[in-house]
Amino acid sequence: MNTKIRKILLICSGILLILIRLIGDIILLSIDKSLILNDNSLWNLTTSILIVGLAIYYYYEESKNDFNIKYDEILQFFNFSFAQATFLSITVIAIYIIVENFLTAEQHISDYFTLIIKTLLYLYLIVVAILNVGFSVKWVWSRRKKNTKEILLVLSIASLVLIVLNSLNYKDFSNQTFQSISVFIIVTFIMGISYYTPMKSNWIATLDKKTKIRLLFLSLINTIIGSIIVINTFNDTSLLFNDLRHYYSVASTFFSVSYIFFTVLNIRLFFNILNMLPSSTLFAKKHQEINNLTYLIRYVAESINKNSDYILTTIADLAIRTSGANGAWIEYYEEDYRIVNTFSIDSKKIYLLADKKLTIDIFKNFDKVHLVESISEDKVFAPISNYIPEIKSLIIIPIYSFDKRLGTILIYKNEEYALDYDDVQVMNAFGDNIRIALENSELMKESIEKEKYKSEMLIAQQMQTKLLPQTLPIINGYNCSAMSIPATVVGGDYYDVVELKNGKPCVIIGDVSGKGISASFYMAQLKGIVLSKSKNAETATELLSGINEIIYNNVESKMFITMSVIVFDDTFGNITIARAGHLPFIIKNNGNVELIRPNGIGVGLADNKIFGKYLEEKSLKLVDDAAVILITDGINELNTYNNTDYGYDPIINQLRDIKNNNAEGFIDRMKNNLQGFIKDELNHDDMTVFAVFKDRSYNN
Amino acid sequence: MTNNNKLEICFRSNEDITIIELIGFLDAHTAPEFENSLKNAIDDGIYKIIVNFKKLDYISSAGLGVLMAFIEDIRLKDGDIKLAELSDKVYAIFDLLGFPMLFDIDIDENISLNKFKQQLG
Repeated sequence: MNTKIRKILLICSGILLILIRLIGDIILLSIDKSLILNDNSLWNLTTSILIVGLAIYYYYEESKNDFNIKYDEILQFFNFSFAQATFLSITVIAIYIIVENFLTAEQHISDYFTLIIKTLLYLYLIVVAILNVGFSVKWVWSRRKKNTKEILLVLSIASLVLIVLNSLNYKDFSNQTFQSISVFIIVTFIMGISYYTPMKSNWIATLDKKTKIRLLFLSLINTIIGSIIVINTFNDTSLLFNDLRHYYSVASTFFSVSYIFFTVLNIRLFFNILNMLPSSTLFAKKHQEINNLTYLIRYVAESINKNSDYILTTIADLAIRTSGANGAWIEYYEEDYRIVNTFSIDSKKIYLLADKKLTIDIFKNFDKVHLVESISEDKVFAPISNYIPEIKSLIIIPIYSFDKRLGTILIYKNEEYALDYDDVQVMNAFGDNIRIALENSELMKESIEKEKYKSEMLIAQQMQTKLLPQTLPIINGYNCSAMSIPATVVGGDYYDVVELKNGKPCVIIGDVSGKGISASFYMAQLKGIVLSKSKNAETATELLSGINEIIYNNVESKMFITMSVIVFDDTFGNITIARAGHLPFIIKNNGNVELIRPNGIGVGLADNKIFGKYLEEKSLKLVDDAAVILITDGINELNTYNNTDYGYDPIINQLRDIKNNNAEGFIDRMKNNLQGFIKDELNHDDMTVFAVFKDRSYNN
Repeated sequence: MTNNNKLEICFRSNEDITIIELIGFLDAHTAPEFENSLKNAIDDGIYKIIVNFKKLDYISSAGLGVLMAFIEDIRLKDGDIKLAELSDKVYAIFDLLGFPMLFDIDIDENISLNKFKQQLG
């Protein structure tokens, strides 16, 4: 059913009920005046149950969504509803006073006018009772604990029992004394259980002093008024309540119960506030500290990309607010002594202190948070008051990052003994959090740098990979293959296949001294030199001398390159080899494998006069299944898992074993073989192998 | 060739000749130490230097580069760097590069000393 229609229906039936009751009362009154207050219990009981029940139901329907009050809305709820409840209680008291003083005992409901007036009054009391119960239950419910629900149920049952007992009272069903005792017990029970209803009162603690005093005052008023009302609802001489009891029996008991509950809650609130009142200031301070620490922790988590000055300034600012200090300054000792920031104090004054040797060395002695309660009474710090008299008490907060003392935060008050050990405790937390924040930002910086370095290295690696031939050009009569593994991301090994001025193909291998970035740098230069010199050279020695000339004269003296060159004179196996300080050629020819080492000095070690003097060319005729292998020293000097050098033997053996004379196959075998020997992935030199195999089809 | 390999450098003097004894590993990591020692010696006006390799276990291209860095300057000042008592393994590396054509390499430190002294007389 539509809520609006149901609401209208409820109101209509309420009005109808009240009218029925009123008409019935008028009829009763016209028959006999005494009937209305005495022997009408069934009429009275039924109609009052219906009216009160309907009113409660209506209230419940209207406000069932308001029963869950959030923690931070409780004060708002109290500000409005508490004042409203107090106001209602005052009106009840006012009505009570008026009725007691201006009506006499004879003016019971005896005429139609009084009947209507009193009916309206009693209806008002029912409304008050419902609002009261509603307010009280909302209050308890919003601060509920584990068993609150059950206790409220017990309370409702006790109230129902009381209502039944009170109704029986007028039927003389039972003994009067028994009745009074039962009522007394149940009322006491309701009072007790109301007082001990489980509910949280911690929200009171968080209130400021002013709010607490206001609530204390309101709860006191409510307690007094409530007590007067409760006592009088059980007082037979009270005109208002006695009539209510006779005239609206159920309403009367409901009204009593509502006020018992309400009053007891107020008494409880009164004592709770009273209890927490003296600690208000301290609590407010602690509350502020907790807020600030929460903020501090959040700030620390967010400060990851902030610089240290910003972190220190923000945290020092927070430290001042937390401790209520009058001022502060931050000293920083990294590089030079400097004041990062000051609060409410001129930095010139602090620099003056530093000049007088009153800061750095003294503060550095404290590796933990330290409190100076009185500057003037402290032997070490007393001289400070000569220069900055407003510093009367001081807290020294050392700043660390990765166990390194970076600086100090000083917070001061211009009152002696104004800072205490509580503040030291809190500042300890600040000190720890500063450390975390600084370390975080340091780590962040490092990881960004590393990331940057990594990506730059990646670019360098890509560039270098492009300097080595992606695919080897075809040399008629031969098949070639190569592999190169740099020691770090980049290396100094170089190989290439170029064409000399006379059109002869030429294989070059080079090893720049050193490794890593500097070697890769020279390797890139070498590529350019080789390309330009090969256009003017016709023989291996011409090419190497040309390269040496440039390298020796232009590159720093401690850098040199070892190189080997194979020039292919024809497609039938005639080759010329030359070596400039490089490792020997490993040559398989006529079924033998041997190391051949023509004379030659490393490129860049001597001027062309000496270099040329010693440089030797050797011509060879390769026959069936011949191969020439060029390696760099990363291969033969590779430190293997059994701590010996890889040497030449594995290469010689493989060269002997290989059957199909395929360079690519040989390189694959070399790769696999090397994998098995590499002991330390991270620690080897650049490794390059270049393999040239003579094609069988070109034999003649 | 691990990073733990250290280089120790000892200095001895014989008249105006300085003998630098290398002990351990001379590679890319330790080469700067050797370079500094040589540089300091030359800055102090020492131009007659014998490097004794007797106790050197390993030398890499970076180590060889150090010798090249100073030889020209020193020879311009009528001095020399002579190499003495190389182990077979170290000699092989020098030999491969053609160092015997560029440096005086002697099997005994005293031979190098005498060469300097004869030069003096």
